[in-house]
Amino acid sequence: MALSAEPEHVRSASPALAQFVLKAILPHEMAQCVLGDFEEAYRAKEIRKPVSARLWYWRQVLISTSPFLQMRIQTAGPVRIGLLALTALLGYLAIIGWDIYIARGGARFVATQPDGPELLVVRSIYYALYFLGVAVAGALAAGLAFRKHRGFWTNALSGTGPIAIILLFLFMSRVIGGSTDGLLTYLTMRTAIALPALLSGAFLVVIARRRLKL
Amino acid sequence: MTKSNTLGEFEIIVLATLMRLGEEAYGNRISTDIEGRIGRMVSVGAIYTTLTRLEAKGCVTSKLGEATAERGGRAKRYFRITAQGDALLRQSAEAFGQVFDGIITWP
Repeated sequence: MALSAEPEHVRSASPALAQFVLKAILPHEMAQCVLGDFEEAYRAKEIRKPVSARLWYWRQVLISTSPFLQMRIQTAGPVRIGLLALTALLGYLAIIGWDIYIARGGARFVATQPDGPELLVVRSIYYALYFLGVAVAGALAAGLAFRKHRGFWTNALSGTGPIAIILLFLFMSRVIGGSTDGLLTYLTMRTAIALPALLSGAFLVVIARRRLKL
Repeated sequence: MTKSNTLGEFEIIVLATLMRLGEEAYGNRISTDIEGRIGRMVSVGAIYTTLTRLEAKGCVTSKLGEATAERGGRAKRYFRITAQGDALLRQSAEAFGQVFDGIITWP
């Protein structure tokens, strides 16, 4: 499907967040057609039952995005999948390394602060930096993984790569997190913090991509 | 038959629906028609991924239609079965006929 339709400026009635999820996951040229189909059906349902129409819309988004994700993985090819897995692993190790050698120092600093409002500020800054660092790492790893396909920055700023990376991280955290011993527990806990950070990073770069029309 | 020129079950359903709907085949219409006939909810996402695959096989073509306010200003994408898709669909139907020959009597 090579053609794409730029939407006219007509106010959409369907849930904005659900639309955003669709736009983030579906290829751009397809997203417009699917959103149009959903909008058409949604408006017809909304007149009769507004609440159930919203539930219907979300359900459609959830069941419609999985075939696209599956298709993307199937069409990626073994080399690209291998590259993605390797990059995810390297990205994961980089995050862990960063966490152990730099952020852990930060954690010690936080631990030595006296109780009070200052501690809250220091903790907030520490976790904000940690969150930001992981999000950026996820986006850059995604860009590297899909480098040969479309170009580094386009991929780094697209939702596809980061979402795929998140899924891989989730898988890896489950595998690694099987044990409750020392370092493994630490890695699992850090991964649990890294996941929402990566997700946030992915969504932020999707917004940036849409705004900058990359 | 090689893998590239065979059709899956859902591909057959979608192609047959395109034949039936003719010029009016787009996402919602295809979904509604299939649901009405096989009594199973079919996601628009599944239909579009199947159509994308069929387009890559040369079985369907698509074109953009009009953008309407009811669709939030977005255009419909109309799909049509190609001669190749038509031939492949008939070939698949014939193969099914042979598989079920003597077992099922078609109405």
